[in-house]
Amino acid sequence: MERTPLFQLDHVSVTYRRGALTHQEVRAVDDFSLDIFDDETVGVVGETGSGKSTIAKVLTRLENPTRGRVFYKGREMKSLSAKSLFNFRSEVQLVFQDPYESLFPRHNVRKTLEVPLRLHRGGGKAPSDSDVAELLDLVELDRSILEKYPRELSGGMRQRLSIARALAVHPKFVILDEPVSMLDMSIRAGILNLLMRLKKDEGISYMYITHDLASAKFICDKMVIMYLGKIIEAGASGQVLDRPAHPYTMLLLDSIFDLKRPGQLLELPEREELESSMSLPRGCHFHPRCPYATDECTVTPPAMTTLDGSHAAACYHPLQESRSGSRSH
Amino acid sequence: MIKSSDITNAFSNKKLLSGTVITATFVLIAIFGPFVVSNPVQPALDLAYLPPSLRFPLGTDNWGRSVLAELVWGSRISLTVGVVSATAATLIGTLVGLVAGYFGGIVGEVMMRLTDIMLIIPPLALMILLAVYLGPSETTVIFIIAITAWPFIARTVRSEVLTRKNRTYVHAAKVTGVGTREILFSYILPDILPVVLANAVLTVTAAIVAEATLDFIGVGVTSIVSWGEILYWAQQSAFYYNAWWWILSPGLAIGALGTGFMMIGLGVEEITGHR
Repeated sequence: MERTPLFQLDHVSVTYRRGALTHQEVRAVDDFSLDIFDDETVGVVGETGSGKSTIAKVLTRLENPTRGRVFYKGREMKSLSAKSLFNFRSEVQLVFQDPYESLFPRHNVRKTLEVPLRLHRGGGKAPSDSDVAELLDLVELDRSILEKYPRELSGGMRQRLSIARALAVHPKFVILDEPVSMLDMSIRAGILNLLMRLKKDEGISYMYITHDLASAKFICDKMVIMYLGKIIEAGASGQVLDRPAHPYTMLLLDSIFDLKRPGQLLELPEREELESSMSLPRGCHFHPRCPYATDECTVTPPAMTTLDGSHAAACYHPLQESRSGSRSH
Repeated sequence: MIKSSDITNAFSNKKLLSGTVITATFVLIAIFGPFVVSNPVQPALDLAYLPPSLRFPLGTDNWGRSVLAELVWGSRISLTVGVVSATAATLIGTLVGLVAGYFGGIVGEVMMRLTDIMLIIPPLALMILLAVYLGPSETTVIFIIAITAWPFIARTVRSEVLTRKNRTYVHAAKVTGVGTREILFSYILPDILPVVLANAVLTVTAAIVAEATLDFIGVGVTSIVSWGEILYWAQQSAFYYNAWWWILSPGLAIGALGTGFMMIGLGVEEITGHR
C-alpha cells in the first residue's frame, strides 16, 4: 500500500540572483526530489555550499522554491493558509546550526521558551513556570538558568535551549541543520545522545543535515548525499556507508575513515575554484574531481539509477565493491 | 532593564549631557517662565526700540514690548510645535520604514519611491505651498513639518530593518510561529529604537527651525508670539533702528535649542554605537 509521505519534494530548485547588473544565478538546490516519511530519520549529507541548508529553509517555508513543488501531507506548501501554516509550525520545527545567532539576545531562557508555549499550547495565555521547567528537564538543562540571557550560556547550553524551543510545540518532525557543527568536540556527543533519546522517548523523526558522515551514521535510517545542489546518492544508511556507489560518497567516507591501507583506491583532487555553484561544470558536476570520469560524464549529467532496492546513485560508473571487505575502521 | 549605573554612564557622554542641560533649561523656561514674566501683548509705543537695560534685559521691539517676555512666551510655541511635529514625523517614518524594509516586494518598492519623491521636493518650497494653501494655524504648521520630515526617518529605519530581517533569530521566530506584527515590534524595533530616538531628536531641531522659518517668511501663525514671529517683525524695521538685540536674541534662542536637541541625538547615536 502506498503511504502518503510527510514531505514530498518534487523537482525543487532554488536559485539566487547575484548582482543587479550581471544577473548571475547561483543555483543552491538543483532538481531535488525526495519523499520523507514520518517514521524515519533521513540524513542530508554534503559539503558547505552543497545546498543542504537551503533544503531546510524550503521545508520550513522560510524560502519558496524557484521551481518545483513541495508537499506537506499531500498539500502544497506554497498555498497553505495562515491557519494551516500555523498548524504546520506546531508539527515541523527547525534547529539552526548556529546557537549564537538563532537565539534572540533580548529574551532570557524563560522568555525564549514561553514564546512557543504561549503560541501553541496556551492559546495566547502565558504558560506556567512548570511547563518551562519541564522543557529544561527534557533537554537536561538546569532550572537555575531560567533568568539567564543567551550571552551568559555556553554554546552547548544554547544549543540545548534551541532544541527545547523546537520541542516546546510538541513537533512530529524536527529538522536539525548541522546541530553540533558549531560546538566543541567534547560536547557534541552529549547533544547527539540527547537527540537520540528524544527520538526514542518523544517519537520525533528528524531530518539531520550535516557534512559529517560519522554523526549521520549514528542518527539516520536513510541518507541522501548532495553535491553542488544535486542528490548524487541515496539509500538506507547501511547501504550507502557499506557500499558507496558514487565516488563523491567515497571521498566523504575517506575524510572520516583511516586512509592507511594498501593500494589506495581513490586519489581525488581537491575541489577547485571553478566548480563553485555559480559556474557549474557541464555534465556530471563532480567530473572535474572524479578519477573515473570519462567523456560521457562531461556531456550529460547522469540520472539517479536504482542499484539495489532503495539504494540509488547518479553516476555512470558506480563503484561495485563492498567497503567492508576491503578495509576496516 | 535600565540600571542607574547605565544612566550615569550615558551622561558621561559630553554631548548627551550638554544637550540635555540646554534642552532642559528651555523646557523649564517654557513651563515656568510665563509665571514670572507677563504676557507681552500690550503695546507701549513710547517704549519702542529701547536697547537692553535693567528694566528690559533684552531690549524692546517696535511696539515697545519686552523682547525677553516675547522669548519666554514664544518658547512654548517653538517647543510644542517642534516636539509634536517631530513625534508625528517619527511615527510615520518608523512605520513606513518598518513595513517597506520588512516586506520589500511591490509594497516596499511603492513606499520607497513615494519616500524618494518626498525627499527630492525642496522642503521649504513644499512648506510654503502647503502653508499658503491650508492657511495659517498651529495645526497646519505641525502638519507641514511632519509631512516633510518623515521620509528621512523612513529611509534610515528601512535600512536598519534590512540588516536585521534575515538574522537567524528572526527566522527562528518565524519557524516558531510568531506573527509578523510581533516580529516587527518585539524582535526588530527594539534593536533600532536608539536610531529612531536619535533621529527623532534631530528632527525636533529641524522642526524648530522650520517653524521659525515659516513664521519669519510670514506664512506661519503671525498672531501668536513665537520665536519665528519675533524675527518676522524684526526684519521689517530692526535694521533701520539698529535694534540688534531684537534680531540676535531670538536667533540665538533658536540656535541654542536646536543645538541642544541635536547634541542629545548625536550623544544617543554615540552611546548606542550607531555612529
